[in-house]
Amino acid sequence: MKERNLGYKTTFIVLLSAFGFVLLFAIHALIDSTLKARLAAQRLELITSVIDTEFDENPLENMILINSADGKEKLELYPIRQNGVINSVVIRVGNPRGYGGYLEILVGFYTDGTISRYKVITHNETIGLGSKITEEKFAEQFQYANPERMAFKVTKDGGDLDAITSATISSRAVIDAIQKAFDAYQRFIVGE
Amino acid sequence: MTKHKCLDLVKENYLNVYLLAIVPILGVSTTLLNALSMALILSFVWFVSTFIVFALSKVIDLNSRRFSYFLVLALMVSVVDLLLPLVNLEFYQSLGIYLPLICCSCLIFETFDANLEKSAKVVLDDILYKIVTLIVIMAFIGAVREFFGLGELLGYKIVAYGIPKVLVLQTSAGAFFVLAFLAFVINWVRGEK
Amino acid sequence: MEFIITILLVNNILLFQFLGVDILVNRKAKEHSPSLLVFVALLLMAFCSVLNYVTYFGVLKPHSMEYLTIFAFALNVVLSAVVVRFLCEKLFGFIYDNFSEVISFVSYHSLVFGIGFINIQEATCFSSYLGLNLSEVLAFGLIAWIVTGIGKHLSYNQFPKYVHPLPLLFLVLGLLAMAFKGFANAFY
Repeated sequence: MKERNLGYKTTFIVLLSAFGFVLLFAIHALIDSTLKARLAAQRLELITSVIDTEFDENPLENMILINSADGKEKLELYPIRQNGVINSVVIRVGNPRGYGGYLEILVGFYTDGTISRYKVITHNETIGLGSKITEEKFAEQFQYANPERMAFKVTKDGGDLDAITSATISSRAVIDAIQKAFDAYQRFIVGE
Repeated sequence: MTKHKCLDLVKENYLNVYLLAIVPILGVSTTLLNALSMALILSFVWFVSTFIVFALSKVIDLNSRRFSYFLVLALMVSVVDLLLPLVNLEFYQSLGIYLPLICCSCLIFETFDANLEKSAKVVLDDILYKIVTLIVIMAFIGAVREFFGLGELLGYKIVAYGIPKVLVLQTSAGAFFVLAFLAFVINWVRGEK
Repeated sequence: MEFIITILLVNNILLFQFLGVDILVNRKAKEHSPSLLVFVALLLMAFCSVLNYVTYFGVLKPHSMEYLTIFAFALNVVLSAVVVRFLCEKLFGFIYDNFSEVISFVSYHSLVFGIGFINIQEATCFSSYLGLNLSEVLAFGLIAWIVTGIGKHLSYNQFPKYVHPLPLLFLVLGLLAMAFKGFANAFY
């Protein structure tokens, strides 16, 4: 290794980066279709994990974007159809006000607005406390609950839902996110 | 892996240097499995790129060599970034930012510099020894954080009634505390010699 | 206000994502003052933000070539290091003579590259991307100043010999991380 002049250096860096781009491009071209299929399968699995109705159309292809109730965000909505009739709806919703920042959940609704289940996709909550939002013990109280027919808050705020012990902020974040999804869902039902 | 070499870790304040490699990937050391996988990925990138740099060492310019190192590392990390989702999609998605950060590992730069004028056999010996040390350190950090933080190891409760969980070890502060302990032990052993 | 506090305190880049810890750990960092490191990092970050934004939203995203992001951003860090080194030697060369050393020192650590990479997904416009990046560099600077200051004071105390210097640094960082986690309650 020795010192070279500026032209040599520049040529070398340019050649190296060109080679890099070509190599990455080639690898990507080889694996692209496999990877896309994997990702689609994973998304489909996630979406179907929050509902228990049957479907015969791919929800990923029917995805539509709807405005949230305050009109500031676009939420992804996946209608689940069988024989052309919507029997449930999955909405993907995020909330930046978790204890550790942004959290993102998928909520499934039956057509009457009852929640079937929710699933946390990404979260940053404290492990052992806030991370219990992913566990069944907290999640099961949302099953078959309807935000309209109950006080959809934690007991601390005068509602009907039990918060996770010493993780009230995380519980509130999940409840707020579900509420946001429910509001969007109602707009979707009215719009139809 | 001679005995002489293993003592080098203690003798030459290598820990200081190893931490430079570990720090960017500390975020995924919350469990033993994650820490080990990340250490293996880092080792793979390190191993391959060392030999690429070794092969290119005749044509790399001396003054701008760190540019070339950085680019070679980034290229290898990109290749891993493309191929890893095919191997394990969930693990890949849990890595997030920490996979790209491998290409800022200063330790790798330093070994590139150290191995320039040597023969291939010496380089292989050196790199294997360093990789094993890195994996051991990462595994230690991951094991401590998982065992004392969650009370289990590799997902199994190995103590029958469980141990009191020190949840702070699972947060980033816990990673710093484990590193402090590790650095203290190595300083201590080095001082006693 | 909330934005600044969130970036500087609640989600501090150094304490919770470990970006830039390697700068503090590196023995060479002691040769430079934290203010100089932060100044250089700000310059690098500003140039890098421009390049990153243009490459990501101008080239990579419209053609759905996001898989090239890591390599392209590494190239951007290298390019901005070259540009900033050139500018600094022209503009500030009479103040510090070791600028080029500091620039290469900062650019090969995880700070500039990592911050640029994290924020590109969340960026809505160029000014938000630049603002996020620069304030996160400042968040690094805040901790760097605190740690250097505490370290200087602690070095006068009678600690056991083996606690110096690294274990003490990590201990301080850990305590700071626990303390800063408390700021998360500031808005509830």
